[in-house]
Amino acid sequence: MLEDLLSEDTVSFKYPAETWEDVVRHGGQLMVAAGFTEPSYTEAMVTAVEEMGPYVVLAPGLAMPHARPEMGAKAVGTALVTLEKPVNFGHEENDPVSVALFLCAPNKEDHIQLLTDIATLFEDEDFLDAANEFESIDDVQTFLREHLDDNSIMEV
Amino acid sequence: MISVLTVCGNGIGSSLMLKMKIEEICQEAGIDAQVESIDFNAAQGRKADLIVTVKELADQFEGKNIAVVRSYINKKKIKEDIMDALEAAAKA
Repeated sequence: MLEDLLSEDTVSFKYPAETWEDVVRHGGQLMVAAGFTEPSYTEAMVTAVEEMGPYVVLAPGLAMPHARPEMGAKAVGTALVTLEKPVNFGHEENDPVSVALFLCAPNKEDHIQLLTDIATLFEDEDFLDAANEFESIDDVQTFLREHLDDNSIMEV
Repeated sequence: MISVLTVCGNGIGSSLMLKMKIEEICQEAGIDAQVESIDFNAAQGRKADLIVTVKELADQFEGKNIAVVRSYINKKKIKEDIMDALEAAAKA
């Protein structure tokens, strides 16, 4: 599923962010431009970190910014942002973050496969280093093909 | 059957990942559990045999049966963090 949702338009490599908020806003813009979300969703992702802390940093170096479906999610979607240099989100164990994989979903059900894929990547020991070296959507897709179980292709 | 709530800020991301991991853990351990992911605000008024969340949010659930996990996605860590609480809830 992840490989179907990521395209040239929803990836950004070595983005020069200064703060965690720059990262979240940049990924938010990619999802708005792709038609996955309303701008309000980007604001909600920022607010979620401000109010509830950096729990979206799920693994060392890796964040999954997201917000509630009703904050402006129009479809199941994602975006990948890698950073020129890592930034801190304020997480005790997993800072600094150098890769963010965003998530939006209009309800609690339709994105289970996407979440499973993201969890698989975030637990993959090779993902963080590989993602920091990504330079094109082809690099991303090659990694995903080799590292994800491809049950979503069967569903098409 | 025990009821387990997994809690994160939004109820659709991290807590849903955690729910999937806990379902696997319960299945492997032979514990009959109904696991539901829920957002932080909705969780406040809910009853469950066990509530599982991360440290940042755990402080807000005073007086409830809480298990704190270090990770939403690392199954090994989750298992270490909640197995005792799961077994205690299953026996109660």
